[in-house]
Amino acid sequence: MDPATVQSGEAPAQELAQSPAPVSAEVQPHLSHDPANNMKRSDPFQFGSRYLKEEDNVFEFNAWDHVETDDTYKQYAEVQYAKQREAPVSDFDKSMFYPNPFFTSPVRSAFMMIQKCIVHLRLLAHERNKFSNVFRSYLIRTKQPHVVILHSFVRVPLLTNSKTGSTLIPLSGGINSTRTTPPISSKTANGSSRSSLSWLKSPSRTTALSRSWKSEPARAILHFLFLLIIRIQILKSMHAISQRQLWK
Amino acid sequence: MRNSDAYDTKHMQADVWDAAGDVLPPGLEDGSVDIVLMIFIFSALSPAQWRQAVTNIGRLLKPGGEILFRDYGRGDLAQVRFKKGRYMEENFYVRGDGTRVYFFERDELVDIWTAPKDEEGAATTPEFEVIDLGVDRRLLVNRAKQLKMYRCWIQGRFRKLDTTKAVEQSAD
Repeated sequence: MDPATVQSGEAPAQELAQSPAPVSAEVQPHLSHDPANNMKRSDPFQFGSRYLKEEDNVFEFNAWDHVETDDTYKQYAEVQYAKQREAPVSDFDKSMFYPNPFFTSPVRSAFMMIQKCIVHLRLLAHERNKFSNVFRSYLIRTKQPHVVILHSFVRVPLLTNSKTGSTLIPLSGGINSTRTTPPISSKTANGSSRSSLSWLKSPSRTTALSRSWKSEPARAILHFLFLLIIRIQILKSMHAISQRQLWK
Repeated sequence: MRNSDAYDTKHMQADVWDAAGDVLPPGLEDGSVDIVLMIFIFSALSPAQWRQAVTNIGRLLKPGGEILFRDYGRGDLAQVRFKKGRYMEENFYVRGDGTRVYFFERDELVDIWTAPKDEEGAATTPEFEVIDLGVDRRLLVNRAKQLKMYRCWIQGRFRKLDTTKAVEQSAD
């Protein structure tokens, strides 16, 4: 027996025909307000017993069971479906999400990697805030704030990733083999340590890229874009930090 | 689960497993499972993965073993209010966080579990029967905003058929 038909068809009709008065006199469990605890429950609780009848005020209670959708909703749903079909997911997104959730194309890997990096950067910013005193003294001593920031900001997330799962990074050569940050010593040696971007032009960096460019150009481009986006994120977070003056 | 203090491999084992993958969960053999709980699992698979998932569950379950199933039904408010750029194919969407969701019809689920097809689309021997499968329709009300929210879920039980034929087939 389908409860929905009971609710919409026979039951209200019968009650109305026989005696409208007892309906209000004998309040059903799910419609009762127990003044003691404000509970509206039968005991034991009957699942699926909160029938919505014609005489009920739908907004009097939080939930009703076995309710067929009304015409307004059906129309709304059809309009929505039409809109959804008109504006489907982009091909790029579909290629990422449709095949399966563990699908790992280089693009998706890079995407996930960046997401992870952003999380790490935020965490780091938080950690850094806690230890700011220690770092401040270090920065004053070395007088190389930019280098130090870049150094730890890039290294830590990448190292963490390489530990947790290198399968996420199928890009050519892997992240480990690419020196995204030069050692601090090289900075001090070439004397341009105040420029935060000078390390991007470091010789080791270009050789790594050109090497993979010769063997696998498509991957090298992806790799480069990926690193570029990470750099932007790093600069962004540095900017955010300086705005909040965490370093003063 | 594994990080919980109460987690003890004497009593339980928790693993992440791809239900539509090629291997069974670690430590489990063919025909060794009594009950499979599938609560809002199946909707995350793409239609192309259903067959593999059903096959895997069929391999895992003992003859007579049961599946307790609950998932989204077509027309659920969650489906209706999907915005632009989420629709992948009919009743199949990608959420903002990159997870996917399918909204089922009742008859569709009956077909998936009891009328399997092979790769060419030819009917194969069914491995399961439906014990019970119902559509749970509820009207949730936001009383402050006077909003009606129609929810729709499908819930039921499937049983692996207890025929030697089916066992032989799954063993092959």
